[in-house]
Amino acid sequence: MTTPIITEQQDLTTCPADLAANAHLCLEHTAIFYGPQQALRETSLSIPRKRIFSIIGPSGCGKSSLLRAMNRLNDRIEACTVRGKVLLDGEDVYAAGTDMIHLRRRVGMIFQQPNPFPLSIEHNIDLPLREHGWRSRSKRRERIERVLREVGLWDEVKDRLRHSALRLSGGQQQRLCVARALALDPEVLLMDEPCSALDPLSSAVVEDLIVRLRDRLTVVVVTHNLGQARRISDHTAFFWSRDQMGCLVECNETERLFNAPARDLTAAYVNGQRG
Amino acid sequence: MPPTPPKKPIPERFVVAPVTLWFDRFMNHFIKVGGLAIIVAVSLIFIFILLQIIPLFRGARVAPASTVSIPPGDYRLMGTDEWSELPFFLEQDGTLRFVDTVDIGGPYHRGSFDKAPSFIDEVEVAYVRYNEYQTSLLYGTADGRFSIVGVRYQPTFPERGGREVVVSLQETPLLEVGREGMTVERLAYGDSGTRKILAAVQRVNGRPELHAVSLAQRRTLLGPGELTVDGRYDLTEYLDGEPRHIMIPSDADALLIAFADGRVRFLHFDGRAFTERQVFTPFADLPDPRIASMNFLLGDVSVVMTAHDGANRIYSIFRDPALDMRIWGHTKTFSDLPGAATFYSVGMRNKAFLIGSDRLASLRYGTTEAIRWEAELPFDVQFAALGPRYNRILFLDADYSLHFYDLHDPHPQAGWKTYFGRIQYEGQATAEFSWQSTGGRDDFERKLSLVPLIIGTLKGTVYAMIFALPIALLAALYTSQFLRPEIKRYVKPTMEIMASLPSVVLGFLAALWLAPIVSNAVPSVLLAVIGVTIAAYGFGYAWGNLPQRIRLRLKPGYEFLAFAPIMCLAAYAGWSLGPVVERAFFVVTDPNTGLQVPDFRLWYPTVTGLSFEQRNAFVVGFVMGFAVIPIIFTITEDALSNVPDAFRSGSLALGASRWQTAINIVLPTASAGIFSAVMIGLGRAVGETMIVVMATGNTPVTDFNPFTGMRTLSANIAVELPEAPYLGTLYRTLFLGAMVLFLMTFMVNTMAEILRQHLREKYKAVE
Ligand SMILES: Nc1ncnc2c1ncn2[C@@H]1O[C@H](COP(=O)(O)OP(=O)(O)O)[C@@H](O)[C@H]1O
Ligand SMILES: [Mg+2]
Repeated sequence: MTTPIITEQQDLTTCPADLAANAHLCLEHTAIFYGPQQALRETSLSIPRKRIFSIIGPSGCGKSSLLRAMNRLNDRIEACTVRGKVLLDGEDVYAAGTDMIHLRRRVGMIFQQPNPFPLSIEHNIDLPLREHGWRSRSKRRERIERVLREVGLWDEVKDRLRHSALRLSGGQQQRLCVARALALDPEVLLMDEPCSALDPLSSAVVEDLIVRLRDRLTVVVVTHNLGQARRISDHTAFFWSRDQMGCLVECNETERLFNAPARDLTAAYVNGQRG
Repeated sequence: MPPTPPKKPIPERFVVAPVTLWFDRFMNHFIKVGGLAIIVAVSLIFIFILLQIIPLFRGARVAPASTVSIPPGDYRLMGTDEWSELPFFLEQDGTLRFVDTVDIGGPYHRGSFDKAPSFIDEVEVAYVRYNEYQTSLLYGTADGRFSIVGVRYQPTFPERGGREVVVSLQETPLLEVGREGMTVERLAYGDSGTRKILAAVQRVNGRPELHAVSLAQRRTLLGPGELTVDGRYDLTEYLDGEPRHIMIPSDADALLIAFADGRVRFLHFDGRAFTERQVFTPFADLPDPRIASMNFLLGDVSVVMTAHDGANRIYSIFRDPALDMRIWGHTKTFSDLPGAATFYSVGMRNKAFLIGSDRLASLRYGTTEAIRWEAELPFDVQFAALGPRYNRILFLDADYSLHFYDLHDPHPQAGWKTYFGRIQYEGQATAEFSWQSTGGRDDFERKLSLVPLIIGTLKGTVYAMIFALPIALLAALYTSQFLRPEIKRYVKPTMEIMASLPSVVLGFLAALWLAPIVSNAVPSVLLAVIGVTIAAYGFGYAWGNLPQRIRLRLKPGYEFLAFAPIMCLAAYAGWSLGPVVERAFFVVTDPNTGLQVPDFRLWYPTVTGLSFEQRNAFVVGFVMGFAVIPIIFTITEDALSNVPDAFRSGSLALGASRWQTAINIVLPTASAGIFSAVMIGLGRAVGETMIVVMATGNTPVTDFNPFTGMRTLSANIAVELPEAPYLGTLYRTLFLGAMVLFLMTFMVNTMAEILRQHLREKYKAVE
């Protein structure tokens, strides 16, 4: 089978205009480089407010890089440079003078590997709250309980809040990470393959959790699980990589993308023939 | 039971190559053997050191050796030669009866023979006193005269081989002591070489009188000349009771008179006159304060006394700081004897003395209040003598059998108290921890407390750590968490080069270059340090409050470019402010010129009362810190860098600042590793030798004054080992020091390991 050629057709890769109006996050000609090597071709995307947006595509096509560009976690990587704009509520997060702390408070992130701190369960949520200036202990406790309830962890851990978070199971750890992110009241939650390190049952629990976040905040979730993308997301972007460089192939409402893909490559991927 | 199915041969493709198996097995054993060898080696070192120090904590071993019969007689006293081979017994008339105790039954056995001073045919001997150090006898006659008779033992080496001790007497002419013709009841004599005094109690019409003479001996070409009296003193005014004992120390500068009621009067003799210094009652607290016996200990600075109920105490003369005068004071207390001492013999090599009451004999050590040996003897003791070589004990029993006991006590001074307790050494006004292994005088007593050395070790470590810990830890934190990787690449190897600087070089620099600079400019150095610290905090605070716009001019990780010049400036400012501050605050009167001079070196001792030395703990801390910093830095940096990136990403993604991430997440997660780093640094500081040897005066002190030096356990071993005779007390004491050092590091390491495990468990990053 020959590799389908992707043509530069901007209309297919941007979201429909009605969505763009409601966009929370917008990529404008965003390109990502690692040193001289370009990892992501210039991409423009609109991510609608308070919806679930999923990103699918094979490994190495720059999904994680793109996600990290949205909260500027890429800055930590010495060689990484981002061109173009990433607009959060119309403001470029790459503009000079961006307060990183504020940005990351607004844009939370969940990683593929659950990464609770090696502290107690309570302390895991308590610490970021304190770092953001929550002085009142009782308010922090209230918040901790609330977010733990939100992620459905409260009943499981309320008796061992002082135990190490590392003793929780993988699924519980990931939910704790979500709770930790939610505690700061972010507007956007970036999730980089949040379920791929979990067993199917835990995975389903986390999936339910994501669905419940719809209408509350904007969720961008990278997933390898096409079924999951289809089940939970409102919109989906499909990335592909060619010559070691990722590019956006198609972006659309999830139903449309899966049922009536505009491109052969998309069709092949979602039907499991490629990828 | 179903039969086990026959084992199927393993298919060829699953068979592991024999080489792989063999290598696997070999490595397995190799590692096991290696590990075991290390454990065995460490244990052997431990056992070796232990074997070296065990003898220090043993008592004396005393065992009966032989018995010799002595011609019976009414003897006044017993004396012996250095080898305890030819003891003598003094008869009532003043004749010395020597008894050969070697080669009994052999052809050269000399049996017993008498020798007597020439005057005993003419006058009646009323009193004889024996001085064991000088083997001299002090004769007092019924007609009020005295003579000093030296018993000269001379070892000869006859042709038949072996050693034969021959003896001769050397007597001075009889001289008048005080009141002519009156019976001499007691005598005491002290001879310092340049000054000789003799005191006598005479009975005049039933009343005691006390007379003293000072003696002079002209030196002639033909040896010592005649002894003549060059001064006479009537001290009867000082007798307000019945004198029971009189004593003059070998320095001939004092006269002690003990009265029947238990008082002791101390007269000081300055070469011209006697003056009363002190009257004290040694057993004042006892129902019966009378003094039963009173004898000097080696050195004549301490007096061993017993009371009639057996209480045994030592009084020593020392300078009382309040009176600024040498007076006698109670220094040691021993366990009670069953009754008044009936025999006493002084050790001539150390502060041991043999004392006893009837059948109980006790070998005691004056300095440590220790009982080296004590036993109930199977006979009644008339006389006892401690062999001058401290290797034999002689007892004469009531049946005229002379019992020889072998004495094996190579380390009489050693013991827990010597090493770890406060001891009031002779001449000291209080009990102290002191280490002084060599002294100027022959009769110098070694002071072997390890406490000043332990304190010195801690002091060096503390000052090194005060300096090294903040710098090393913060530098590691900054390097691993904030510095740009491309700069980090140069920092770490540089630090490692610093670690490879030999400590001799550091010590050398410290002693010859740094110590003079620092001691000349203490305020400058202190201000520079303070300046840098303040600048660091100030800069951090100011930087945080600067508008984004300015901060963004510097890429994160390059802040040091702005900071370094400010820090240098602060250090320079502090340094140049030093003299100003010195002029303002540290002005003191120079004792030599009487002028007001700004000089911290003079100011510090006058204000704090502590001393100031050029080579001090401050300098050592600084240089030792220099040796410790790279170790702590490297290990800490590794530990911090090894914190999984997921934690840092997680923390940063939650909007924590780099500093918050470093402090709240990275630091605790790496705490086990950091703790190891600190402990390894501590271990290096505790054991560091060369820097301390070179950069301090090696004075054993027991304070934490930053401006004096110290002597650490390790430096002590290095300094003293060349002077320690093989297997001697000092030699073994150095091993004890090594053991203490070993245990200190062992304890620190064990505690560290336990804590480290705990931390690791707590912050376990990866399951
Ligand atoms: N830290 C990095 N340094 C250099 N190249 C990187 C780095 N991270 C990712 N890349 C490269 O960028 C490309 C995209 O990676 P990534 O964003 O992780 O893809 P995905 O998440 O879709 O699997 C890959 O080719 C990868 O090699
Ligand atoms: Mg990825």
